Parts: sequence; C-alpha cells; structure tokens
Amino acid sequence: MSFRTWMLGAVALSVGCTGDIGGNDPPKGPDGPVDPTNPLTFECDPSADPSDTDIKRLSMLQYQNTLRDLLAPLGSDRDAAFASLGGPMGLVPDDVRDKDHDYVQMDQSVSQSHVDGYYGVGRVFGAEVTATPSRTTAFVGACATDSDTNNDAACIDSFIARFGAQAMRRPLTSDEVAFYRDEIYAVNGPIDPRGVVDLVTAMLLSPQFSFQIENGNPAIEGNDDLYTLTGYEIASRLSYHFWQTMPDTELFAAAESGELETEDGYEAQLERVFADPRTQKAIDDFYAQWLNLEAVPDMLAAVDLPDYQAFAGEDLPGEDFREHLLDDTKDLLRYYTWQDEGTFDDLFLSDRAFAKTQDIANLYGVPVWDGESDPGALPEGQRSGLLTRPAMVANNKKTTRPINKGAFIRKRLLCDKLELPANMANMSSNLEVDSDLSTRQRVEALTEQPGSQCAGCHLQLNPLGYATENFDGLGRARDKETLYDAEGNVLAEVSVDTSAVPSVTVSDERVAADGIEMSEYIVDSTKAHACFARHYFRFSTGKQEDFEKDGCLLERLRVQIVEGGSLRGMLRDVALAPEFRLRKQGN
Amino acid sequence: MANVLKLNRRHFLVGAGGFTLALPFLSSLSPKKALAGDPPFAKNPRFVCMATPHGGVWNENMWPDEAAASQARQVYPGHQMHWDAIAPTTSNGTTTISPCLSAPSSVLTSSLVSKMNLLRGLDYSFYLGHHRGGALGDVGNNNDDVPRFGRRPTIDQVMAWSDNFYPDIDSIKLRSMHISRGYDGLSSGYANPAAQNGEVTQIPSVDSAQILFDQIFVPPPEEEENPRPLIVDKVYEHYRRLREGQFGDAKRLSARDKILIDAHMERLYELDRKLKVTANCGDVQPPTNEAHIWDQVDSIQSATEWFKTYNDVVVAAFVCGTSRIAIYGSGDEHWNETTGSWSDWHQQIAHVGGGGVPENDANAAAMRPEWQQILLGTQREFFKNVFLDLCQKLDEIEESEGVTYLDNSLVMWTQESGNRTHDNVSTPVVTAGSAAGYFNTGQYFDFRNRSNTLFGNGATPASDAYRPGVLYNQWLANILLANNVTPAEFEVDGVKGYGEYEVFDLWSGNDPYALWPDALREGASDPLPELVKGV
Repeated sequence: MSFRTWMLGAVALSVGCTGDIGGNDPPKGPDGPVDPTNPLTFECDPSADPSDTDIKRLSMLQYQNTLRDLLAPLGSDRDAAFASLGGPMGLVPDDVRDKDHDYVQMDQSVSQSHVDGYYGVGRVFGAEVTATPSRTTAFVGACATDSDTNNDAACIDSFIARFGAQAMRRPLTSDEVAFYRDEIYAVNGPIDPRGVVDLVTAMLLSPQFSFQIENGNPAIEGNDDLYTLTGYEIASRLSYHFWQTMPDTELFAAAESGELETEDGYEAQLERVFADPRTQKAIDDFYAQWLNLEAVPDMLAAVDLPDYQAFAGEDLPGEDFREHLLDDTKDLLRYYTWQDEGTFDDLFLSDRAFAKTQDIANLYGVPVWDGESDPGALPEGQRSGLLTRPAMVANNKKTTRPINKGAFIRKRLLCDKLELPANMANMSSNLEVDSDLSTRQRVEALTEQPGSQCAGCHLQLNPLGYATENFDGLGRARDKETLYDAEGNVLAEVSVDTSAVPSVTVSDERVAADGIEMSEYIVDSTKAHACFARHYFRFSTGKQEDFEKDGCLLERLRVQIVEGGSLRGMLRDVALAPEFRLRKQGN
Repeated sequence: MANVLKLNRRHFLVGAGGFTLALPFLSSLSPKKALAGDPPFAKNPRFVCMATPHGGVWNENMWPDEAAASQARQVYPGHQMHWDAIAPTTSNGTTTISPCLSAPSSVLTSSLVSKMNLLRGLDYSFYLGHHRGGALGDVGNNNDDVPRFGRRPTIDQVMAWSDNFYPDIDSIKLRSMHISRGYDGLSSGYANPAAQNGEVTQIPSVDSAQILFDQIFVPPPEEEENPRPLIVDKVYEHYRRLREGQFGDAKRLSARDKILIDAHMERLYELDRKLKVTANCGDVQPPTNEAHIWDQVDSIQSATEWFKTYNDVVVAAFVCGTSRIAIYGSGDEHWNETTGSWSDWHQQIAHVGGGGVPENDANAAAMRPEWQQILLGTQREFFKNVFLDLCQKLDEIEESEGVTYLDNSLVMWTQESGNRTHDNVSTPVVTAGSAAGYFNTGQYFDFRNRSNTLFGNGATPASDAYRPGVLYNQWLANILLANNVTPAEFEVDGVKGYGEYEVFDLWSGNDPYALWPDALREGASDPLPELVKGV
C-alpha cells in the first residue's frame, strides 16, 4: 500500500466519514430514520423565549447604503460625494462568508481595519458635505451659510439633532445634543466647517451608527430580559432587513408618532416597505447567498483549449456568458417571487425558460425571452426548475461535476451535514484523463468501490449529481457524452445514465429517472422546505438557528411554504412573527 | 518597474554623503542577545511572513540533496538532525540552490545566500487540508466541514500585541501589515486583542498599496492655524456616558454584546493612539502608480510589479519605524503563464501536479510531470520576484554599522503543504535575515529524523522519502522567541510550543507518537539547535 493510499483511508476514518447523514445511528422515527440535526418539522413551544438577540454590526452593504442615504440632502451632488468615500472605504473589510458564517449578515467580526476605515470614511464624508457653501447649506442648513451669526448656535444644535437622529436611527436626548455641541463641535463664534467635519466623523465612528443597538421598551411582564422594540428600533429592523439600509423619512415619522407600535400601523408600514423595489434587491441578495451563486465558475478557463472548443462548438462562452447564466436563474427566482406569486415548489418544478440572451436561449433551444411577457415553455420533458438550470450544472470544463452537484444539493438545499473528510480535494483525481468511460463511470470507479472508505460518503452525494448528467458542462441537454482528446478529436461517444437513488430522505429508496424526477422527490419530501426556512432565518436574523428556542419562527416559515403559500408571502411574513419585534437580551 | 515609491536608498545608508536622518533607528549598542563579536544588531527585530498556497513542490525540486546537509547532531534522544552551509551553483548568470530556489545571480547573490536558511523537516503532526492560518499557528482557519480545532491568534498577532515585541509603541502606526492577492486570511486575531477576548477571526488584508502606505506613512507636520483636537477620545467618552445611562436607559447589553462593543471601543483607543504617532519618514514619498489594482494583474510581470510596490511600502514602514510586522499571501496560479495542457488549475496543476507519485495510480503526477514543472515554476517565480526582492531591498539599507535592515529582520517564506499537496510533513520554510542576530544563517537545516523509517521507502528522491522531523509548533515558538516574546506570553495552559498538537492515527498501522514522540512536544518551546546562535 502506498503512502498516499494510507493517508486517504486514514483521513476518511479520522473524521468519521461513515456516510451517515448527520452522524451515526440516527434514531428511528415513525416514518423511518429521523436526523435530529436536520428535522423535517420544527417544534414550537409558545412558552419558550426566542434565542438571544445579539447586537449586529452593519454589513458592508448596509453600511454603504446607509452612508448613501445620509448623503441624500446633497441632491445631485450625492453620487459624486459618495464616490469620494471609495478611498477610505477600501479599508473597511468585506464581510466574509465561510463555514462559520453562512450569510454575510452573520459575520460579526470587528477588526482594526473596520474602525480605521470608519474613521477615514467619516473624515471624507464630513469634508464632502462641507466642500462648498452650497453643500453646507444643503447639508447643515441655510443658517450655516447665511450672514446672520446670531442663529449659528441654534443652527448647530438643530443639525446635531437632525443628523444624529438619522445616523443613530433614534432621537438624541438634549444632553447628547449638548455633548456633541460642547465636546466635539466646540466652536464659539461663526459656523466652522471643520467642526461640522468633526461632528459627522464622531457620529459615523460611534458604535451607535455601525451597530444595530436595541434597548427596547420596558421588559415584558414576568420576563426580565425579553423586550418589545421601540418604534425606532422596529423601523430599523424593517429597513435593514428588507432594504439593507436605514429607515426612510416615513418610517422615522411612523416611529415618532407611535404608529409602528400599533398592529395596524405596523402592518401598513410593512406592506409599504415590502412593496418598495429595494426589497427585491435584498431578496435577490438572499437568493444569491442561498444558492451560492458566486461559486458559479467563470466559464472562460478553458475557452482557449482545442478540446474545449471542440466540445463547446457554437456555444463557446463569451465574456458575458456567466452573467447570462446567472440572470437566467435569478429571473426564475424573481418571476416566482414577484410576478407570478409562485410557490417554493415552483422553483423546483418550473418548465419555463427565462433566457433573455441568445447564448442562453441556444442552450435551451428556445426563443429569447423579452423579460416582460409570460416566459415560454422549455422543451417538454427536458428540465424542471432550478436544479436543471445551466447555472446549477455548469462547469468550466468539457466534463461535468456530479460530486459537486450532489454535495451542493445535499448540504445547501437539504441541510444535511455529512462529516466529510477535512478536504476532499486530495482524494480527487484527474477526471479529464482520456478514457472510454463516461464521467459518471469514472466517478463511480474512483469513489464508490464497494467497501472503500470513500463510498460511504459518496453514495450520499453522487446520485444527487448523477440525476442531471443529461446536461453537459455548458448546461446543454444531451443523451450521449462525447469524449475528446486534448487536440479536440472525438474519442468516443458514451451513453449517459441519469437514473439514481438520490435518497433525499434517509428512508427514501426510490429510483429517480432523471433530474425532473429527483426534483419531484425533493418537493415531495418537504426537506428542502424546512432547509429553506432555516436559511431564510439566518439571513433575516444574522444568527444560527436554535431549534429549541427558534422553533416557532422556523415552523411558521416552513408551514407557509409547505402548505403552498406564496414565496412572496413567506418572505414578507417573517416580519409578522412576534419574534421580529422582540429582543431577548441574553446573558 | 519605475520607482513608484520614492525611497532613495543611498540617503538611508548610514554615513553616506554625511547625510543624517532623524530616523527612529532601532539599533542598539547593547543588544540583549548579542554574542561576543556580533555587530550592533537592533534590539527589536522585524518579522515578515510570506505564504503561498498548495506547495506540492517535490522533494527533488524544493530542496538540495540531503547529502548537502552532512553535519549531524542530536536534537532529541534518537533523533539526529543534519545541516551544512548552503552551497549554490552558478551557471550562465543563474544561481541555483535547488530547482525551486533559483534566480539570476544578480539577485540571489552570495551575500544574500549567506543570510538565508533552508528549514526542512518542520511537520504538522496531523493531517491538514486546505488552510490559511496554519503557517502562523491558527490551524483552525481551514476548510474542514467539521471543525477539529478551535481558533487562536496567529503568532504575528501575539507579537503585535506583546509589550515585549513593541516595548515602545509611540512610533508604530500599524502593528502589523497584511497584504494578499489570492491567498487571504493568513493572520487571525481576537476581536479585542488588548483584552484577548471576543471571536477570533482572520485579519483583513489591504488591496491597495496606496492605502497601506497611507497607514504607515507619517508626513512632515504641517502648521495649521487653530488646530482642532482629535475627536476619537470624545467618541469613547460619548459611549461611556451612554453606557452609564447619562443619555437614557442603556443597560440592556448582554455579555456578548458588551464584548463586541468593547472590542469596537478598544479599537478606537488604538486608532486614537495611531493618530498621535510621531515619526520621521525622511524623504520617503508616496507611491505614484496604480499597481495595486487587481484587475490589471494579468501576467507575471504585472504580479511582480504589484508585489514590488508592496515591498517598497514595507521597507518604508521599517525605515520610518512605523511598523515591524508584514504578512504576505499570494495565490500560486498568478505566477503562471503556461496554457494549453490544463483547464483546471486547482485540480490538475495544484493537486495532480503537486501530488505524489505512487506507481499504481495512473492519474497521479508521475504521469503528468509537466504539471509538476508548472507548479514548481509558480513557486520559483514567487521566490524570485517577491521574496528575494524584499530581501534585497532590506539588505541595501544599513541600519547601523555593518548591519542592514535585513539582518535585523526575519523574512520567512512558507507554503501551505509539504512536498506533495496536502502533505503535512516537511512544510518548506525559507528564511532570510538573522532576526537581529538571533539565528545563524547561510545554512541548510534538515531536521528530519533520517533513521525513522516508519513510513516511506525512500527509494528515489521523488518517491515516498518521508521522514518525521520536528514540529512546526517549535518553529513558531522559535520565531516568537527571536522576536522577544516570552513563553509565558505564547504558551497556552503550559503547553509547549505554539499551536495545536492533534495527533491521530493518520498513518494507518503506525504509531503517531513514534513518529513525533513526546519529547518533541515537551521541548517545543526550546530554541532549535544550530539554528539559534549558541544552542
């Protein structure tokens, strides 16, 4: 046995890669094994408090959007002023999505670069809004540039109160206004723009700006650390969730009037907020993170290679091909969310084409869609929903990637947690070696040898990928796989086999003929629904779900889509859950 | 490349042209580690770590033949190490230490070779897949789906927040500089490093040399009429009053909330401190090009320019005395210009090309030697264009009589894996500089226990010639010791060395404690023999 062979086997063993979904020996439920770490339903204990509500740092997107909104008084100068923030903004780190932070909203790291960047941005922001008398007039007020010096003190107080309330998303107390005036502005005499720069910088550097800090109303009776939110805090919850930015004037007004703390007033604002186009952008962002669309390859890596050129033929990807692939998938998601009042099931069962560009239309063999009329049908019996879209099956090579496709479905869409080896890459081999075997056959030979260490895991992954092997690396439908040598000569044509046992649930042993049938199984199982509820929870709250404490909200979201409620309704109604307007302080 | 950073090196040469700069020279006439006859090294060395992903440069390509390290002595009972002076060859204007460590003789000079070290046989005692943090001690920053390790600060951050490393921080604008292109996340630190609490996360890197320069540069003071005081401390004061309830009820922060906010406020303290730094950067001028723009890097030449710009900024920071730590990460595929035989860098070049050579694997690197050549080429380009460039620049400037900035630094280059991609043994480490006289230099150290044959047959240089060496944890501890950080600062719960020691039965059928016996862990805070002067 070679050193390498020892190592591969040992690694697989060492991390408990038994092939069990969620771990060893799952307990048996009434309908078969149930994985307690990945339930199909959630237990709602109405008497349980929700999980702790930690303060949240604004994500990079929220931070930038908020700064842009704060520059609104500059009118037509706003874009130029915002662009000037780009230099110091480069110091503020991007939010990280990784194994510990499923969504950027969950990255709560604080580094020196954050604070250094916030400071630099604050200085430039202040310099921009006072760069000219007209900007100072627009931003601070006419009183700041008129010839009357008697109104300067009141002018600054008014500015502090107004800008402070926007930046901190709550009214400042009179003591706070005095603090900013006396301790930071600290000017006796005519308005000093440098003092304004300092005021702006100080406020934008405050944790009150860069974090969502909630104090809430007095504690709910009988519970020392559970609070309803104030109107201002509710306004921020709504705006940062649905718009990824600060509240607008109307939300602030509704907070001030108390409207947001009434049921009718709240629901009216929710409807308004949800109908705003900014919500669609936020939901686009959620979908992109859910489906990990950033991982779709660039599709250009092999376009110069003769074998890839022979494989791609007239469909050789151009510079925009990846974006077109993504648009096709995003348009499917948008259509069933906003235009058709579609359901979660539609995402997996749709037979519509959303090809707005010729290159994608060619892949499908359909006419180009105008983006507005009802989308036309895909060729019958060929595709079904997301999992058969080119973006979901595309590869940078002439071959497909059944293992990756399967792992994506298993882990991302079904929320199964396989205890995989620390890194699978070292277990891989070169699937491009010339051979007369199909990609599937080569993967089977490499990873599914009976009794091998690899098979335990791969049998849980590969079948989910095999089911869509009737699409090539560009996402074109096929019934044969053509094998090329490095010069692009055809070596062989081998049949494609899409039949597989995807085992969507542990007890499901049905054979899926192809991706269409697998998608049906996924819909039937409701497992993806529960998983989707968990994902939306993470995006909405910026935290990992706690089944025990968050069961009510999770179940509410799950039931809504399992019972055929609209996606749109589910995405909106998260804000109707009681938890959305509560704060649990925690320890 | 044009001199994008106006750093007139001649002006920094001590005594050159009678020019005297009020630079914060870190020289000391009585360095605490000086041995008899040593020149006047600085009291506080500087540390640079460069890392590239994958590794996978075969033994025969990474190292000189093991016969070139023929002197022997015991490291631990039953474990002999070997060493000798590095003996490069020169031909047609190229100096070659090994196929990977090869460069024009004008760059890889005999003087520079005499200040380098090759460290072979530094092992992680556990399998480590793709990772970022391992090079500096945070092996928890890896791609594991199921975490095996907790996160811990990397050693550069231990240094950055150590009073022994920075005994006088008045001139320090940036405790550590972080530069990356395609290999980010090498460093990790606490959210609140002063209090050593909060989540441990990776330290962000900058993606603009101009921004980095702005962070380390102290311009000459300008006279301002009625200057305004800094406001950062006022922000802190505002928050303090808020916490005390002076502006209303604000007592509902949880313990976790407080840690996060406190981290933010602690960073404000640091910002305030940095804004008040005074230093003299002499005639250092800001960079003038846009070599930092990622999208413009599409060739080895442009990648070289990109990194050389950063090298200039790092040298400027050292000369200004405004930082003493720099961490670099670089992707490997950016140092390649070959096309035609591959389409998937990661899978084909980095893994198959960097893989082992088992004769029974038809898909392994043995069948694709050209892919190993491509991978080797990328690492060599990085060595030549980035590592040597920085070393050369640091070595051109004297800090005190006969002692250059390079002498007062430890510049280290390492790779993600050993001599096959994902090998956790014999992680390559190449260094330059003596860390202000702490290390001997010019040596090829082979810490492997050549008589431990528990795995590998050693039949050919390219085959499974693997021998367990000493633990990478000990190397990390040696770096810390060289930089004046004491064991009391870096040992956790009395565990020697730095980092994790998970040992499991990776080598099926073998006893991992026979590969790396307890003595190695127990002595992992000790200076490495022959490498450290006087040991």
